[in-house]
Amino acid sequence: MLLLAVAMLAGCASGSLNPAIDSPAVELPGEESSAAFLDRASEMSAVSENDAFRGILLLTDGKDPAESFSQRVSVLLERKVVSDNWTFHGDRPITRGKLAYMIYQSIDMPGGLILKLTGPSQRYCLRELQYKGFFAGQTTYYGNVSGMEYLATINRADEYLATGSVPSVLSTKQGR
Amino acid sequence: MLLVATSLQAQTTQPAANETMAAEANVTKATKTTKTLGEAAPKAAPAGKLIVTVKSVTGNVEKRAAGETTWQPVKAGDKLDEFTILRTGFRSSAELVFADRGTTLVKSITKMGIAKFAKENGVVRQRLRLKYGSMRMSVDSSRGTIDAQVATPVATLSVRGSEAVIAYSGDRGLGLRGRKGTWRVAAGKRTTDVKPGESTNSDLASSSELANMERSLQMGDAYGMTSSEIQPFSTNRRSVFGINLSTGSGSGQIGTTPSEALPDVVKPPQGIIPL
Repeated sequence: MLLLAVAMLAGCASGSLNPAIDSPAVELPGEESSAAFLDRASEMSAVSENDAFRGILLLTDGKDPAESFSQRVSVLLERKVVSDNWTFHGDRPITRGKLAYMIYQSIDMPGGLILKLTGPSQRYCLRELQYKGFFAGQTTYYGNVSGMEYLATINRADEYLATGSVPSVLSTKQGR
Repeated sequence: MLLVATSLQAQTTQPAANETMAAEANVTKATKTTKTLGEAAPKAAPAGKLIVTVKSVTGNVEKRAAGETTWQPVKAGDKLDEFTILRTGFRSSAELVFADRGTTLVKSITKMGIAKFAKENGVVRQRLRLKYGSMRMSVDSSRGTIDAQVATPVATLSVRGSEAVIAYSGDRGLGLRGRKGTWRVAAGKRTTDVKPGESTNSDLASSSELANMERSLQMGDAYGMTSSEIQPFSTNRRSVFGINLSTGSGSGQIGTTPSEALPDVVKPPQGIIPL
């Protein structure tokens, strides 16, 4: 019965084939190096979805092949790095839950029981990454992400992809 | 606040107030490199000034020298002056050789600056600034006295002959792990010494406290972030050792020119510096 209920709940999460995409007012600079992007992001009080998606593409591919926000969304949807349940607004601040979801999907991290049974969700991806030292504890999944937090989190993801773990000097487990 | 770590190997006294800042780091072999520079003797530099050489580069590493407005790619063999700022991208790194006094491996997703690197009164002084990211710093005092300091937004680390991994993250703050020698960490009025194998953070917690933090992980709750978590998330525009590393659009500014006198003593500010 429990497995049936979980399967039904997971099935209810299917999204739209054509999610709503609201393009940003100004597109990102083209052919931006990863170092330049990270430097620019470090100054942001809140990272937009457009910038966050670019960062994820730089993390996984080393470059951002998309020329527009819509293209980035399409690429990430195809890879299931973002969910087709979401709505997409280029200028809207990325939430911690969405960032956790994208990082979790990008680094192919093995999750816990709930994640394995129900698939990725913002809440449980965030909790899993908090447990692994990617995100600071006592934070909510609907909060915005500042530029410095974005850099710190994606740095841990980069280290995880390179080495399979997060160094203690970067891990949030030993933070303030 | 600035985190200053100081090694206590060569001397036990603190640097005099009027001492200018410069230091070298010993070479630390990079684990992965794509371009390497063969070992070469550093050429003679103008009186006082010492040479920083890029030994190897991996991935996307860029530099901006004093007075310049654009960023240039870094390649092995480049010579770096004081007030040069480096930034690295994903899976990128650069190994810097500070004359014959050690090396610093600037790791990925890092931005740091060389505030000073010169020899004065027989003492080599090195001042580095870390805005975000991590680096592995090795200081060699076998050829003479070295006074090295690394400043982060929350504390300053000083060393005179040791090795450590230093990191600063906007959400967790400072991360320091000593590998050789002893590092002195100053945050406001508080200081702590980090010995080989020990670690500390922005709160100058001991290694045992850090181990307890790992075991009792605080997960998210419904009440949002604490005030201490919110505080680091503001802008990071601190000027340290004359270098302003705020460069949102990459333009940035140099807080001072080489001809300007650097502050004799870096006085860590009280409390937590808004980032």
